[in-house]
Amino acid sequence: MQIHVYERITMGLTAVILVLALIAIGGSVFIAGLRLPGPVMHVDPRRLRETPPFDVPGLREVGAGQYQAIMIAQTWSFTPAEIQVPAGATVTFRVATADVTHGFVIQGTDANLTLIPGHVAEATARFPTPGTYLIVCHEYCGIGHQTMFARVIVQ
Amino acid sequence: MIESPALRPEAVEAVPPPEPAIPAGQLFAIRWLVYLSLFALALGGLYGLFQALQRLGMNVYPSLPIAGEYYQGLTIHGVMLALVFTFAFSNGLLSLTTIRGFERPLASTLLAQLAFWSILLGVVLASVPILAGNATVLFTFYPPLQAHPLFYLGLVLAVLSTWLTSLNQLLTLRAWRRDHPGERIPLMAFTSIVTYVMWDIASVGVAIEVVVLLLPWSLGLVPNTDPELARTLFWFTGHPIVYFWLLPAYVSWYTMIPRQVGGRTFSDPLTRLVFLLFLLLSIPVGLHHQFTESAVAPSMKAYQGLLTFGVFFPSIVTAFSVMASLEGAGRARGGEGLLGWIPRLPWSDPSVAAQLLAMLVFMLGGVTGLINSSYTVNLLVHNTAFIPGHFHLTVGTAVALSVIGIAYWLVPYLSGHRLWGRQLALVQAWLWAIGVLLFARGQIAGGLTSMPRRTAMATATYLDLVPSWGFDNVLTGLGGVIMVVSGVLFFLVVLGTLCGWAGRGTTELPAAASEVRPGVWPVVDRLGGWTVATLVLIALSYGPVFLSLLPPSLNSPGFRVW
Repeated sequence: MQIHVYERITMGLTAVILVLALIAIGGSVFIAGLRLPGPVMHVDPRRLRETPPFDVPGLREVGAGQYQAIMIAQTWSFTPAEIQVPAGATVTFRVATADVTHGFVIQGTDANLTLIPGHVAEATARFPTPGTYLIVCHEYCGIGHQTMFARVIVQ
Repeated sequence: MIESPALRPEAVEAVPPPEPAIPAGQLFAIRWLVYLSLFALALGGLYGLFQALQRLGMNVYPSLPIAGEYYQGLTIHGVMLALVFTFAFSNGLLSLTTIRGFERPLASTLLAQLAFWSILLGVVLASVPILAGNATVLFTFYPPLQAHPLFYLGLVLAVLSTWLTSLNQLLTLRAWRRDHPGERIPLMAFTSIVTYVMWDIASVGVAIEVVVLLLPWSLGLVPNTDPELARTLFWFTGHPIVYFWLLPAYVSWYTMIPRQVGGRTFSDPLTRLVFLLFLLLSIPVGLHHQFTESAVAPSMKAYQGLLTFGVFFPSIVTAFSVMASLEGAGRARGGEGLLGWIPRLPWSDPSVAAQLLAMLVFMLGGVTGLINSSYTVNLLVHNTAFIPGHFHLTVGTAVALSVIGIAYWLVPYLSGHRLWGRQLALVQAWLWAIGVLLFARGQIAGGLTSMPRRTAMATATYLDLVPSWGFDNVLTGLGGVIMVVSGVLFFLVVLGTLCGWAGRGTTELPAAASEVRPGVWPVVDRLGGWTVATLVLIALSYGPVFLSLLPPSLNSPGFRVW
């Protein structure tokens, strides 16, 4: 069976495009340092609010311009619903859900998490310019889903 | 331009073999499976209208007599369109193509009938809790959202219906092989059967999720469940399900459309190879739907992300092969020059026009799909409105508009009536394509600025914080309304045809001729061996993932949050 010459060209070009895309993705990981969420820790969702660090949700400064935000997602809000950081801050969000599955995406950043009961999730975002960054729940979580959001105020 | 036996004008004269007689009991099942799928399209589409109107600022939900809550309507939209419409149509069409391919009836009339009755019962059972407001869990039903047990039972019966269809195909294959030792499986039957073998393996994930985890939990036999394990089982099925939606359209594009445009299938061996690649690669790639979940190690995500690029390959071969078939036909009709063959295609045939437009739209669907599966780029779009923007180009158009195009010969074929309203049908096809492009433009633009998917955006409390979403919603709503208008025209045509407004007449089942080459790649027809290879690939790809999630962490009680 001879594969038609035009077909071979098409397949070859496809392979080239896919390889170029893979190189670009590799660059985003190894050069730009983008990371996908990975395992952080297990937690019993029924006892989330008594489990450290989620017993004290909120913002902590862990270094110069470095912050950690401990957040709880529940129907239909985030705790805390607002955090304030100075411009240029790098914030590591450690988030978990206390009930159903929720989503966590920060507009204008690479932070994008799905919050599965039982699994703590973590994402890091940098906020170079002052303004308000919207955090939205992007996983359906009941009839109040469209009211579930939080804000990062960058000053 | 291209020289191939399939593209020589004289090759076009090849006459396909005669159509076999179909036993009445089998024809009954096929006919009602197709009608059930069209009913699901209508009902799901109706709730699509309400969603679109809400984006345009018209909230009709409070005035609905039944299912008057946004997410309840969204559950109906998803279940009817993604599950019932697609399953019932595949069962009907790919039973018919099995018959046509083998030139013999299905092995079992009983199985064909059971396939119809089980999905019908499944739809009825699942509809009761959905309409009563006891299963507002969307079509993905992620636990710990907990639906009424009847919802899960209905889904089980719908999947069972697809397995019965597959079993019938395989029994027919066995009987055919006994009578035709050493012969190649006819192409139309081959593509139909491989589609279902892929789905048989793929659907095991959701079957285990529902039967082992969710059903006992919703019945109260088990107090808690493991949402992450359930979700991973769901996506084991959830990615290949898109190919189960798509491949019936491919069966039409490869083995029927060439006949409808006056050509022939470009290459028999390449077509088989494409379907085999889908069998091999559809399943071990589901993790790219879980890129943002912390429970799964990034290395496993990267591996499956890489394989996802592999499954892009057969789609590119399809783009080439189907286009080459079309070009051959267009040139045989007198088309000249680089692109002169395109206007020579029978665009005035609504069945052809709808499917050609579906193919064109699918190119954008494929490209956006590649974006979704691109490891880190996915972070930009994951679970945003970009995703429904993408899949309304694929399942919502490449599949749905192809099904509509197929219906333009299939409904006349099954009813014995001539197609009524050809001009309306043509307008319908173009309106759908225009509508979905507007819709997708709105959703994709919204998604790129983190607009969440599956959200009642019109009443979102943060809507005012992002001014650009106003315009995105208008485009989405407008596009959706245009698609619904197109759908109304489609059902007018179906109604007129079923009522016989254009009179009686026989319609051909378009079976394209292709050059079956007995000696070329006979290994391709060894379905048993390929199934084993598929299972090995899946074990390599999913084995570590499931091992890392076992034993289950049963720590989530059920929630009713609607």
